[in-house]
Amino acid sequence: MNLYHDLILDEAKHPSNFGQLETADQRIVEYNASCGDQVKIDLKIKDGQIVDLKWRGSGCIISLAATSQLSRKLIGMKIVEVKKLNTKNMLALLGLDNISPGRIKCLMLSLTAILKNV
Amino acid sequence: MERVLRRHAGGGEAKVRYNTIVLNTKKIKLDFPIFQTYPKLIYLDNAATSQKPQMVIDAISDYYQKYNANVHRGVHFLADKSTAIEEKSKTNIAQFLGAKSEELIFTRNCTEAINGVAYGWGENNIEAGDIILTTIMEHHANIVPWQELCKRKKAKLEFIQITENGELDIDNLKLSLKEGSPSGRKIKLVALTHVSNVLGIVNDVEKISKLIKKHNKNIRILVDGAQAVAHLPINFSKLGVDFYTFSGHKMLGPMGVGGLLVKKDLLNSGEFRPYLFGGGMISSVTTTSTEFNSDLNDRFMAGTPDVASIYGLSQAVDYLKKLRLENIKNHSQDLANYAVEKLKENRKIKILGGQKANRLGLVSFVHEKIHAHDLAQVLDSEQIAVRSGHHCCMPLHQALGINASVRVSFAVYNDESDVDKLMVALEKAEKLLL
Repeated sequence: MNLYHDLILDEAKHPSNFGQLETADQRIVEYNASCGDQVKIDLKIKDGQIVDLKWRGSGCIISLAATSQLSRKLIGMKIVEVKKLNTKNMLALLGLDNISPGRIKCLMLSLTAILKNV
Repeated sequence: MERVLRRHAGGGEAKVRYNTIVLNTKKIKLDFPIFQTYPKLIYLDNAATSQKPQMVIDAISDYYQKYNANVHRGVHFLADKSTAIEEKSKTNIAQFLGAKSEELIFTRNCTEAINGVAYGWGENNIEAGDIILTTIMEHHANIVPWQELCKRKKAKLEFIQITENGELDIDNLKLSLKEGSPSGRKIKLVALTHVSNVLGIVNDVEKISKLIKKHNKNIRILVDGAQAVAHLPINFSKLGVDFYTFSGHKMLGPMGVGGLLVKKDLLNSGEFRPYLFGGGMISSVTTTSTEFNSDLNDRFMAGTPDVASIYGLSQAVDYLKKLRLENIKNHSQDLANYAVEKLKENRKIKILGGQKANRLGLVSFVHEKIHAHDLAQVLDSEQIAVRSGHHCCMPLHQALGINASVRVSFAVYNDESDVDKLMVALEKAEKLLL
């Protein structure tokens, strides 16, 4: 099955930017209503740009891989550009064409958290 | 379960005592057209909603082709036919649950029935400082309406805990009841589930209600029967509870109809009052006041009911009656026990609730390395439908220290071969994801 391809599995097993920032401009917490999973994201923002990010949480492979990929994309990105991100971008980050409606919340957990708060 | 016993005969593994009555699941499956549409489907999400037999599906289209008219409102022949179908169905469904026809109020589902008690009883009987007791194993449907009622009334919602085995902690209940009176705290309602939709564990409602009523006969008891009605013979007249709620769609019936059973005494005394207002529930209306229908039951039926679904549910009841509830109960116990036996062979799997608990119709578990959603997704690719998540029981999952679990739940068309296929698919998931 192509949902669990190697890139996604590796990403979830070895996530990027996993951890906590000692000082942060924003600390975000978001829950996945379908399973109660939680993601915490710490952001450093300077001149309208994300300059550093760390995240932590437990979750399914999709949400972990998506958050890990997103974290790499966000560092160095301007907030105005962040605000334009959507489901399509998240699918592309994971190399997927589509995902079942039941897993959209997993895919979008971290981006939803960011968009609500920046 | 003869087939299972035979399989284990001589193998020395049969640690569970299985019942001897077996449902003919192959024959039963033929009555459910979804399995003709998807011949390889292993449907193990029956606690969310069951599949429907042909006779239930036919009843709905029959109703609209032959009987459709509004009930209790016309003098024409179709109105009479429709009214007769509704009344006959109502009597049949009420009798099936051991209730009087006038004790059954139709709702859309179990959640709406519980909300009905919060409004029809709670609004008039709960006062500031009162206590409502519920349990940590409840579905959100038996928590949130009470949280909201307590907010409106400045009352308090308290939770009875579970034992390590996942069973309701009766000592905890006794303590709550005991603590209730001397300090002047008034426990007015105990709301609990009959069968937990996560643990599959059955609460001995008759024993619990005796305990509560012995302590104080004025405490009202509500039982959420959503997971019980398709698996157990229910006799409302003997349970000793005041309210019993259920959904039709979890008992082979259509979506959109459920029910609330209310003890006739509470209807007679007016302790339970109408909470939905409008047509059908009145006897006279002026511009300034309304007299409610003198019929104890009609006064709770505001607006046009979903007669087609009520008729469909009555057909589902007939189907269950034909199989006999005692047989279904044995079947549901056997399958839950068989699933526990198989799942516990995998050391990475932890079953929620004790392994020897009195389970009916479902088992939930977590895998120590694989998230519930990922397991469910791989099972889906093997055409095995299970539920993953918190199953609308976040407080219970929090109490168990987990976020999400996988639930497998059974109905009359499932058998042990479905569990065997589940085990093979779980191995595949481990190979793929670990």
